[in-house]
Amino acid sequence: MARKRGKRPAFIQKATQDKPSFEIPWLALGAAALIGFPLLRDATSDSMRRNHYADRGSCECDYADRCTRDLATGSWDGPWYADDAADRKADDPGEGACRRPGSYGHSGGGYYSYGRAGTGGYRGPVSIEHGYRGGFGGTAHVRAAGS
Amino acid sequence: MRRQARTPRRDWRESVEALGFDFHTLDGPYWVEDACYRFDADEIDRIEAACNELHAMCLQAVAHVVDRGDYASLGLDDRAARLVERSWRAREPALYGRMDLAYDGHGQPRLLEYNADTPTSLYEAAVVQWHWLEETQAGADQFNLIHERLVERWRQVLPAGSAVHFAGCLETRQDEATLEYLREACACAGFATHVLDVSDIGWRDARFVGLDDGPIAHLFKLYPWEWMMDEPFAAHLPVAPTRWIEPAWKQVLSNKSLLPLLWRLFPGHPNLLPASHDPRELDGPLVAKPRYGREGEGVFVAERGLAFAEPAMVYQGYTPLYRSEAGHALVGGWIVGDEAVGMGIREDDGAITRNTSRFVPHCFD
Repeated sequence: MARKRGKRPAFIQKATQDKPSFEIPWLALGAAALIGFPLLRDATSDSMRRNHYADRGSCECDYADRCTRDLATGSWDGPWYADDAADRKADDPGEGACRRPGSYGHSGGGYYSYGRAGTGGYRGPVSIEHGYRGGFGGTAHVRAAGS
Repeated sequence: MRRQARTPRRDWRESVEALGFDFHTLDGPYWVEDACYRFDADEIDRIEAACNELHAMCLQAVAHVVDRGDYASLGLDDRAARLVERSWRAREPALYGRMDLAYDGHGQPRLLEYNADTPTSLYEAAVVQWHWLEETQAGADQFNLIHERLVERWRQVLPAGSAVHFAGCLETRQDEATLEYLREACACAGFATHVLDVSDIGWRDARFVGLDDGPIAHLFKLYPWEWMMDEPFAAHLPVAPTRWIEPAWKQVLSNKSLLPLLWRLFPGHPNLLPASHDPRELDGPLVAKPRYGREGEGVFVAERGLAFAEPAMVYQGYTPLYRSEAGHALVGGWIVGDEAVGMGIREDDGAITRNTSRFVPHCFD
């Protein structure tokens, strides 16, 4: 009982004969993202925000290991969070742990134990960026999506 | 069913990499071809029939949940329930899924879980192992019509002329490869495709938008529904006109609380194992699984059972996987649309299959 009929699937022929098909779309998409995304992001109807920090410790006090370094500006960037607090679901990082009144921020040693706002080296965000992307994808920073 | 030692192709790395399969080695070997699993046609028939029957039972289970409004036992909140209900009543079509089965060549395959929302290891099963069979001629055939059926299914799922966005976690190579393969299959079916990271999806003027700010009409997401429901843009899901693939009703199937539901609806079915939210209802050794655990995360075997239930955990009667000197082997049965179309074998030193578990090709005579 044949499940295959001896015919090589077209995709395999394509992959073996035309390997760059795997790569070209990424380059094109990457270029589009680099050029287009910053221009578009701030245009209209923003529903998301993220904080930029002058130093890593302050960012990680707010967001622990969800901070990333912007190599172009040198700032430390927190993750996107919903502008409207009512839209913030369980995994939304919010405005930052150290910024919440009474909070000691993320602890656990190293940069994370920077102390809460006003008591240690913590400095609040130097700017807050508004945008309309980033409302999905936060959970993927801590877990694998595939199954 | 037997595990047969083989000599790997001399140039196996170059061969699989030529297919774009560059994650053949992770922390250790992931693609393994110093062995294969060999079946006879009757065994393949049994696996195929079990997958078809289980899938039909799963669809009945979704209908049951929607008819009764019994979402609480699945841990779905009101928003998720409304999305499930709406997508089911609209008959939004599904693309694919993978059933994980315990099968050792004797008796009946038993369902361990249904990865119905974001299954990976697809490219390995659809393309890489078929290519292996063609090059090695290790066996007469392989249970593998995955690629052909995927291309056909895209044509059934989408209206002609559609453009489809593919979103996932592009930082994860396995997810990226699965997404890219599905995009290729969709392009083979004649549709325009666009890939973006799930975090680059935008919300603007009451619709989800892609990187060019154009509306996303059809979105294949390799990103679990339960994560989406817990993230900021969940607020927009009820009003967004986007058609999602997989559809929202897959939240019933990709949820391990499906297992007790199936056992309640089809008690004693030969392709099911006893399952419950209360381990005291099960006799003998059992396996505890988080409702939303992925890749074996949080799964453990309790040899003597358990004396109390934990929230959001599912308990299933234990059954051994196929055992050999190489470890434990799990059969993954691929469903495309509503049809069982192929198979992939994952092997691990331990009894719990994880994302690093080795993929071993199969054939049958």
